[in-house]
Amino acid sequence: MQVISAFALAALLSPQVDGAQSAANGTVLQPMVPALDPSLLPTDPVVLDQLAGGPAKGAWGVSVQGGYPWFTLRALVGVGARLAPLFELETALGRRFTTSLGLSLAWVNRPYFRLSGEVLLGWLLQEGEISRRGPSGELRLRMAIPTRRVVPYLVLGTRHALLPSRTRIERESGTDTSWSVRHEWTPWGTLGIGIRISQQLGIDMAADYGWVDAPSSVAIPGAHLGLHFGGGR
Amino acid sequence: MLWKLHLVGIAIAGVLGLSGCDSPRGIDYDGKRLLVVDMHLHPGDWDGIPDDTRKFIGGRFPFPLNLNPKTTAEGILSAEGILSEMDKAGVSQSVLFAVYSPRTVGITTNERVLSDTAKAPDRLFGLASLRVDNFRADKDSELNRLRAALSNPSMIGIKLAHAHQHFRMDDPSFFGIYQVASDLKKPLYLHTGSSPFPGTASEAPYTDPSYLESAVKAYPGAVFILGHLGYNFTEQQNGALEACIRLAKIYLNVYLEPSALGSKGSDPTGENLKIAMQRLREAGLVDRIIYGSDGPQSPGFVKDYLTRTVTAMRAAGYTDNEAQAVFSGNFARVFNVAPAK
Repeated sequence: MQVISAFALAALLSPQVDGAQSAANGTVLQPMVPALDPSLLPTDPVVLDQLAGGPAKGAWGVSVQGGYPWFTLRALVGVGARLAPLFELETALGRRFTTSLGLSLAWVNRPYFRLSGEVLLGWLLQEGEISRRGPSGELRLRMAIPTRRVVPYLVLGTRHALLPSRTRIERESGTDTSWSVRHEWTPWGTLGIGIRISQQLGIDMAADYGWVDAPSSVAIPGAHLGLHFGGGR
Repeated sequence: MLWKLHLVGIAIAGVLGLSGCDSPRGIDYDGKRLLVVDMHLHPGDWDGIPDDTRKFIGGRFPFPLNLNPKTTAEGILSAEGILSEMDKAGVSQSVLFAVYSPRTVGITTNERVLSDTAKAPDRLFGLASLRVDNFRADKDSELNRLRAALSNPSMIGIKLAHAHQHFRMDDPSFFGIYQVASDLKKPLYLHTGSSPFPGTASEAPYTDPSYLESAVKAYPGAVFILGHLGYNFTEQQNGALEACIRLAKIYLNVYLEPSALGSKGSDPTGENLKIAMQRLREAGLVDRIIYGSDGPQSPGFVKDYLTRTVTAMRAAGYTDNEAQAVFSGNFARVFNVAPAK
C-alpha cells in the first residue's frame, strides 16, 4: 500500500503517467500521504478510458449509453502504447444501425488531460421508409480533463457513409440497371461529464449532436446516460 | 416503446424552437397586431400517400423524426396536430384541402376534411375536390359528389391540381368543375407551376397558368386562386409569376396565393419570395393576394413560413394595411368568412 501511494504521487507529478516503469525500479518510499486517494491509483478508471480513449495495456472496458435518439454499445481493450482496438454498435431509435471496428490511440496523456484519436470502419443500415445502407467510416477526437471523481469530456467526429442505389428500368426491349452512390456526412459532437464510482465502474451524462446528412438536413440534438465497466486495472 | 421515444423527439423539436412556442394569435407587423388566416393546409392519412411521395415527405423531416415518418406525419396531419401548429404560429383560421391525386400526392377525402373541420368549426374550413382520373365515365357522379360536399357550410371552395391530377388546364372536358364553382359561388384554388413530388405532370399545359385563361374568361362568376404563383419548384425560380400577374391584371376573378415557394427548401435565401411579393405590389395586386403556407409539412413549418413571408413583405415595402389585406382581409372578402379572434 505504501509503495502504491508513493508511486501514485510520483506518477501524478510526472508529465507522463506510466506506472509500470516507476514500479519497476523497486524503490520503497515512506508514506507521503496519510490515506490512499483513489484518484492516485496506478491505472486509470474505466470511465476515463472509455470516454477519453487510449487505455493502458490490458485494461478493458465496456460502455452502454442510452438516451434520445442514440443508443451505443462500445468496447475497448488496451494492447500497449495506449493503443486499443474498439468495437461499437450504435442505433438511433432502433431504425438506424451502425456497426464499426476501429482503433483508439491516446496522443496526449497527462494526469489532468487526455487527447486521443479514433478511426472506425463499419456498415450503416437504416430501415423503414427512408432506407439506407452502405459502408461507413469515422474519424474522431476525444478530449477529457479528469479530476478526482469527475471527467468532463468532449468528442468531435466526422462520419461518412457511401450509400449505393440501384435503379432498374424494365422495358419491352430488356432491363437496364444502373448504380449511383451518394455520400452522407454526419458531423458529430458530444459534450458531457463522466463520474468515477470505482476504478471498474463509472457513469456519464452528455448532450449529443449528430447532424445526420449535413448540410442539407436538419437534426435535433439528443442526450444520453451511460454506464461504464471494465477490468484489467 | 419506439413510438414513445419518437414522441419525445417531437417534443424536443418543439422545445428547441423547431415548432416554436405558443404565441398570441396574429403577428406583429410594424407595431400593429394582424390576424392571420392560412388558406392552404393539408390534413391526411400517411397510408393514403403513395410510396415515393412518402419518401419525399419523410426526407424533409428533421433527424431523427424522419426515421419514423408515419408517426411524425400523423402527429401533425390530424386536426389536433394542425390546430397545434396553427397555435404555435399564431394563425387564427385555416383552410384544409381535400386531395384526389392517387398517382402523385395521394388522397385526402372530402369526408376526412369535413370530419377535421367539425373539430373546430370556427377555425377550420375546407376545400372540396373530386377524382378526375376517369372523368369521361364518372363526370356526372363526380360533379354530384362535389356539389354534395360543397353543400356543407364548412366547405368553402374547390381544390384542383392539374399537374398532380394529370389533366390539362385548357381542356374543356373539365370545365364543368368551373361551372359548379360559378353556380355555387365557391372559389377555386388551383396549383400552378411545377411540382417537386414524384409522378407529377411537368409540361406547360399542366403547370403554366396561361393555359387557364380560356376557363377564367369563360367563367367570370368563378374565382380562380392561382396557387404558388406559378413557381418552378424544380429549378427554384419564379417560373410563371409574370403570367399570374398578367391574368390577375386582366381578370377581376383571378387571385394569387404565395404558398410553398418561399420555404427553406424551395427558396433557401428567401430572395425569390421577396421578388414575387415585390412584383405583386408593384403591379397593384395587393387586394388579390391571399396568404397560404402549404403546411403543415413538418413540425414548425407553418410558423416558419409565416415568418419568412413577413420578412419578404417587409423587404418589399408592404404597409401594415396592405399586410392585413394579404394575411386575412382578402380571404374574408373572397370566401365570405367572418374572422375569428
